[in-house]
Amino acid sequence: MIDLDDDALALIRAARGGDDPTLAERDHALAVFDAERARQAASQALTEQSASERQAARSWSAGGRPGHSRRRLALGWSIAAFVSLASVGAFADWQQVLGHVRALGEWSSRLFTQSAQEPLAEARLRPRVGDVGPEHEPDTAIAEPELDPQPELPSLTFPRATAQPAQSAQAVQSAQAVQSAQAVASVEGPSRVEKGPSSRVPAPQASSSIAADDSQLGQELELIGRARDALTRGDYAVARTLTRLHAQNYSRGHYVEERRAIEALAACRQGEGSELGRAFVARWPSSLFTPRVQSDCGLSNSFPERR
Amino acid sequence: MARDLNFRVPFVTGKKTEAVVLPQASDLEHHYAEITELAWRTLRRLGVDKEHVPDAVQDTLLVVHRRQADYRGESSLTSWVYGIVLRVASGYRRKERRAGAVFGRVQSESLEEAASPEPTPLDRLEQSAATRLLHSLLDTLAQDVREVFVLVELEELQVAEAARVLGISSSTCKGRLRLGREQFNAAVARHRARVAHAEARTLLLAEDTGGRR
Repeated sequence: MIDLDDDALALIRAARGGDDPTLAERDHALAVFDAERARQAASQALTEQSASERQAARSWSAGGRPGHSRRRLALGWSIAAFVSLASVGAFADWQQVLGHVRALGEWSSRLFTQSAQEPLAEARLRPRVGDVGPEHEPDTAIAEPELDPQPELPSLTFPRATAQPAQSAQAVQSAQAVQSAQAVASVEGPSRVEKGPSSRVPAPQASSSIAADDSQLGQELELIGRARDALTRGDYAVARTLTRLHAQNYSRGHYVEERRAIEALAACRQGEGSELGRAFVARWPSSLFTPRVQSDCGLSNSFPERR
Repeated sequence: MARDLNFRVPFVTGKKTEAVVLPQASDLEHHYAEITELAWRTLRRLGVDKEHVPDAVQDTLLVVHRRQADYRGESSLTSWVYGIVLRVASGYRRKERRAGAVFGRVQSESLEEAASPEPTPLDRLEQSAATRLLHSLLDTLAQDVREVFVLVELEELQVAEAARVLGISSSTCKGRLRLGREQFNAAVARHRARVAHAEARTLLLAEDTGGRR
């Protein structure tokens, strides 16, 4: 193997270190890198958050309208029955034929929906992420009669019934009609119910607001969790970016104390002074995070006396 | 010199130092400063334009960060990082060639730099001049030969390790190294001859001027 000449070796020796970055160049490169990492982590957190929201919306649309397949099945049964009856020629009167077909359809639909009725009702009542907004009202309109053991009779597609005793027979008839309408509505889904003039039952405000609050709490918790993870693995820039993001979106959220603790710890561990730590201890003197903040920020380890 | 400072245990390979412990990917956080220095130096030596080096270093760091989960410890961490640096350098050289083709830029940076002396401190002047000369001589090597030469002669990797980094066989690596040494020796000899010729000419001119006076 050929070796390098003495001149070549001397040149390489003389040039050694000449390509190394200066300390300023290296530190600048590392600072830019840290900032880029923090930006990427924050954007990834946001992307995952929106992806989970989209997933929740997809699962609602996939599982929220289960009546479609059953309705198609019931229709299939009706058509099959109609064809067989017509081919036998047992009925000359078409009205009678149609009545029987309708009865068969109702019977078959009841048969197929009966087993799925309860889990369906449960699923509709369960609060879901993204279960807020006008597009969900048909669903709540169906769920509402199941919630109420004595449904308000005039609220559906049938003529308004009065509560006068003299018209009790009419009321009973209406009640029966409402029950059958409910059965049809539960099979046919929202489109049938929406046709009525006053079919829209106002969405239960309490469950919507609970669902919204639950969703926000989950997102907030996820953000704080990511910030805490970043702090644990030493990505202080990422942790601080995420806490800034939390401060922007949930300035009065449920995890302000945790956010301030993470901010303080990240700042202290980055060597940027103990101002945030001191502010945290002053604001939350008996917090669970206070001892950690005190030790990491080099503050005096004196607990306030509990009264 | 700088190498011994940069390659601290366990981020160590090369002839002069021994690889003691291969760091896990989770330990990478503590080595970004060393990776930055390694990438900066190697990118320059592989022919990336000086003004593009900071961007290329960022790209290297981001690739290392993104792919740290892929690092399985099969090779040393240094080799793994060198592999990334080589690919980044290759991409930047391609870009620079395209830019040169579009804007008609001539790659004569080392000559321009040599013509415009920077106000460097006296103790770094020789190193700076030697570095510029080294770059201009490396520019005369073919790229595949240059990669082997830089890894083995300047970064002091073993031939087998350089072959692993480059994804070539050991015999190919040895062949390119031999060619690189020959070409580098020849380039140094040419430079030496040019300098000697220039010195002789200057001397002759000076004598001639003195004789006329």
